[in-house]
Amino acid sequence: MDEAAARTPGVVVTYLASMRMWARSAMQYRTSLILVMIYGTFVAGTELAALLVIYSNVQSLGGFSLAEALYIYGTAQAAFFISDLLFTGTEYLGARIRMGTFDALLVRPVGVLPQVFADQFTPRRFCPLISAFGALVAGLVSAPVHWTWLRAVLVPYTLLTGVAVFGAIWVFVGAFQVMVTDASEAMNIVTYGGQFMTSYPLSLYGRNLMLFLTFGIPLGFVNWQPTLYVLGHPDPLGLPTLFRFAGPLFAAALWGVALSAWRGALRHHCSTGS
Amino acid sequence: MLIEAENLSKTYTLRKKTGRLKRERATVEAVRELNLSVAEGELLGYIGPNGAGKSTSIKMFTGILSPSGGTLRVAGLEPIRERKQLARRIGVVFGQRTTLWWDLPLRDSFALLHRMYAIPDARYAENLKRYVELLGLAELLDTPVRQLSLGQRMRGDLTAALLHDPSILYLDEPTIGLDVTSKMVVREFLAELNRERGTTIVLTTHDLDDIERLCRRVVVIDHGTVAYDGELSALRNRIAADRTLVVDLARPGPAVTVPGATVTRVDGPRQWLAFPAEANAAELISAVASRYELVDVSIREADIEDVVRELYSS
Repeated sequence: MDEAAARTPGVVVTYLASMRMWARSAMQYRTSLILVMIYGTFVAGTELAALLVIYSNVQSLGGFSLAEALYIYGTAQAAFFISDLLFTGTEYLGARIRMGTFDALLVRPVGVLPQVFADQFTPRRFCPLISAFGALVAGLVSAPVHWTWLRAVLVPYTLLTGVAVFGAIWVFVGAFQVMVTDASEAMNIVTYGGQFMTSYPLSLYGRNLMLFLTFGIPLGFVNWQPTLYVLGHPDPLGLPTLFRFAGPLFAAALWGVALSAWRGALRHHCSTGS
Repeated sequence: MLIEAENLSKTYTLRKKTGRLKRERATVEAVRELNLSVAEGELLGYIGPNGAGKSTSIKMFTGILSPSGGTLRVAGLEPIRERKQLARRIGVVFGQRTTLWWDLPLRDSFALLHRMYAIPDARYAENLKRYVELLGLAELLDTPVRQLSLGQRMRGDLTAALLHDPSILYLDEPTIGLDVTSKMVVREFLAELNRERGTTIVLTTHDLDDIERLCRRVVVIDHGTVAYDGELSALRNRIAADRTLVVDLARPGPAVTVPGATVTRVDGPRQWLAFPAEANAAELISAVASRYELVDVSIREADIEDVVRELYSS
């Protein structure tokens, strides 16, 4: 008994095993999957095209050139869609609870959250990454950056921070769905809204919104703050240079709050059963 | 004792809309002061009308719901708080809601459970072989779950719930919607599992045939608490529901009149007479025969359904 308990899979193994099952499920419908993947790649491409159309009419947006905007767009989209790939299963929780299939996850001897993260995973979530990384690479190549080691390291650092911030938001989405099973769309403001806002220079949105997006919902750390350093722009808010690197701190704090919200939501579920 | 519940209670707070903005709080006692102990190796019928608190209590036993009062120990563990340890000791079959991977072959769902429960390879292979044989799943292992019939899927779910050798198996309506053959396979399997492996089984069902064929002990839940706990035969006697004498007369006519029985139904020449369980059936038959021309008679014992209905209404 104890021996078996010791070998019970941890978070990562549970997560990967569940992911694999969902991926293989999706691949049972090969033709459909291929068509949906082509479509998904195309849709993501048209969004990128929209950015290019805007820049065919203006020289700069919020003080950023096309090359710089491509970099911003690329980092935000890549971070969002990697987080989407990894954590977006929380979005399906409301439906699961309504159908009564959430209970099945609770009677397994493994963590609930990794099972939820992997829920409904499909390889089609890789598609938007093509245009995201396309924009990112185009931006990196064409933006007039004075490259230093620090700037180079900041690029993957930005992506990881962005994934972490969006990931924490997906955890909030899960907690929210447990609490309010019939209002799942409400969280889209933060998730897809956040994806949209961070895809453009935050300087477009004005001072108050920028402040909110830094200290309220720390979306400003997805890519905006480190990008200011990489591209050599001053911070319109005039925040100290340290903020360019503070993303992981904010992300960690956000995960702390998100995980306790999740635990609270689970407790709520266990006491109400709905 | 494998399941030990003392004064177990569960209260829900509902918020009812009473006006445009006003909301009223109402508390609902889904389970109240429920006392139950289940020993190792029992096969327990857990029955009651809808909304009586059956599933709420089962959800507490399985670590899905937290009790709001009383004490509860399952396999020596505190459900919820020791959720993962408890999960290793129990198997749950959710009736109509399958836990198998819909689009994947049956075999894949089993393989996932092999990992999740960290079942030693040898034991997994042995259990899989055994259940596949007993439940006739050999030809279905490579079939996607979505292509299985209801009965086949139920057999798959049973296997999935048992691969890790749980001490307690909870079954929620395991025979609902199944054809006669599948029902028989499932029942025989459960009886054998209980007999050979000593697995404790808690069976929730509306199919009273299941209970009659499988369970010695029956727990009737009503209004959130235990309304009856004991042997099935004693439950029948306790309620002493009427028996029914069905008579076929030579020709149709008005309801017959005989002392000690009342006609409950007339259909052409056939009439149904209810009489007390303890009354002498032979006397009643000769009383009818002395007054009317009889072609055929049969006696129907009160079945468990009548008994339970009687119990609920009292």
